[in-house]
Amino acid sequence: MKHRIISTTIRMAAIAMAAVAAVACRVEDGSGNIDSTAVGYTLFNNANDAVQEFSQAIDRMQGLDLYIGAADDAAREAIRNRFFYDKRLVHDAENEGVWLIMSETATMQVDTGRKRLGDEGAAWSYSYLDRNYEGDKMPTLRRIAGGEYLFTMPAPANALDTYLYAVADNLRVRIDFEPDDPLEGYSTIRLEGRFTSLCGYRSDKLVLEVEIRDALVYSADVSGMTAGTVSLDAVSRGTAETAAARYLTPHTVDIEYGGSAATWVY
Amino acid sequence: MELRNTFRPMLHATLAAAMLLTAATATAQPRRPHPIRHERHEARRAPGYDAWRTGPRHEVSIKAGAFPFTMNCGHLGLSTGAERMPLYPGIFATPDAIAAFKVRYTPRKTSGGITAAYYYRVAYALSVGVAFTYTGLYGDLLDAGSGRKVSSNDMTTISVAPALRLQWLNRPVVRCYSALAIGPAVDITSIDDSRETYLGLSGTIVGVSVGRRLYGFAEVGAGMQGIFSAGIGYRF
Repeated sequence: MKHRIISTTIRMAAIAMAAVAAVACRVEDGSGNIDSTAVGYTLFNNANDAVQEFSQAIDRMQGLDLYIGAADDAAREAIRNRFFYDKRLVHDAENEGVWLIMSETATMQVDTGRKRLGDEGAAWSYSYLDRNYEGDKMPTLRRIAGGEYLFTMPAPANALDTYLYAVADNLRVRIDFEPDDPLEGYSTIRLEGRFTSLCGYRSDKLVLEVEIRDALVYSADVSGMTAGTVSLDAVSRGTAETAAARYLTPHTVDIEYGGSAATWVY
Repeated sequence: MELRNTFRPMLHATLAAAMLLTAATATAQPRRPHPIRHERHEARRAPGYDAWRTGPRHEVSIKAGAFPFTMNCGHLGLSTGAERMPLYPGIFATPDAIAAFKVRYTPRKTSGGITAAYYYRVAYALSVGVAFTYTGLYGDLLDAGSGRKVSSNDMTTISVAPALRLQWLNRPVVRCYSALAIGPAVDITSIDDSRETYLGLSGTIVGVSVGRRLYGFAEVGAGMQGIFSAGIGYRF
C-alpha cells in the first residue's frame, strides 16, 4: 500500500513537472504591426519642432515690436498683458535697443538694433541666455524689400551635445497682423525655403533636409500651423529616408511614406 | 421515628471510626521519604533520529520551474508588456528610433527554469548543495516590411548557486523543507551579443518531497528557479 502511494506520488510529481514546464512555455507578446507611415511621422516631428520654434520666436518679436511702438504707457501695458501676460519686459539701460523677455523658465534677449521691425534694414536678433551659437552668431530676422524678411538660425555652439536642433539660412518670412489693432489682431507668419534638422546623441545623428513645397502658415490665433507642405529627406546611419507632410489643421497632418499615407494627430 | 432509629447507630459508628483514624494518624511515625532517583533524561527525538547518519545522504534532482526570474526580463511569463516602440506624438526621429521602426518582434517562448541540483545531508535537518539553473527565452526579429527574419531575439540565463536546505519535517517517506540559493548568474542576449552578470537569488518557501530513494517533489518559492516548481530526485 505504502509502496503504491509512493510510486503514485512520484508519477504525479513527474506529471506536475511536465505541467509546470508546459505552463512555463508561455508565449510572451511580440510587437504588433507598426503603422507603415510611422517613420515618416517621426521625420515630420523633427521638422515640425523647428518650424514651431521659428514661428513662435518671430511671433514674440512681433509682439515686442508692438510693445515698443505703443502710444503710451496704458497701451503698452495692455499689449504686455495680451502678449506677455506671464513675462516681464525689461529694456537694457546699458545697451540701447536690447530687450529682455523674462519668464520663470527662460530669458530671451532681443537686440533690435534700435530699429522697429518694419523699418528698412532692420535686423532683429535674439538668443536665450542659456544657449550659445556657433561663431557667436545669433538667430536673426532681417527685413528685405517687399515687406518680407529673411530668417537665419545658426547651429548651436555645442552641436555634438545638443540632442535636437535646426539650422536655417535665409528662410523667407512674411508677417501679417490682422486686424491692424495691437489689442485685437493676431500674427499670421508664412515660411518658405529650406532648413536642416539634426537629431540624435553625439555624432550619431539623423540629418533631415526639409524643403517647404507650399508655404507653411503659422497662426498665432490658434498657436499652430494651419497649412503648408514639406518634403522630408533624411539620412540615418548611411540610409536614406524620404517622406512628405501636409498640414491640415492645427495638430493634424497627412504623412506620406513608403507608398502609404495616413493622417496623424500630433 | 423508625428511620431515625436505623441511621443513628450507623452515624455513631462512622464518627467513631473517623476519630480512631485521626488518632492513629496523629500518633503514627513519619514515613521515610522515597530515595532520590537519578535518571538520565533522554531528549525526546523522533523515531529513527539517528538513522539519517547511516541512510542515503546524497541526492540529485531535476525540476522545472514556472516564472523564473532574470535581471533583464523579470519573472518570465508574468510580463504582459509587448516589445513595441512607444509611439507617442512627441517622438523624434533619431537613428535608434528609425532602426526600431524597421523591425518587428515575434512573440517569445520561455523554457521556464530548469534546475539540476545536488545536496548532501550534513545534519538531521540541514543539507548543503549546489543548484545549476538554465532559463531560456526564444524569439525572432523580423523586417517590418518584408517579414523576413533579421536575427534571433533570444536570451539565455545561467546561474550556479550554492544552496542551503532546511528540512523541518523529516519522515521516512515525506519531507518538508525550505531552501535558499545565492550565486552568480549571467543573462546572455543574442540580439546584441551582450552579457549581464549579477548575483542571483532563489528561495524555496516550502517544498514537499514524497518517496524514499526515488522521490517526487513540488515547491513554492521565488527567484531564479521559479515560483512554482516540480521535479523528481534520487537519494543515494
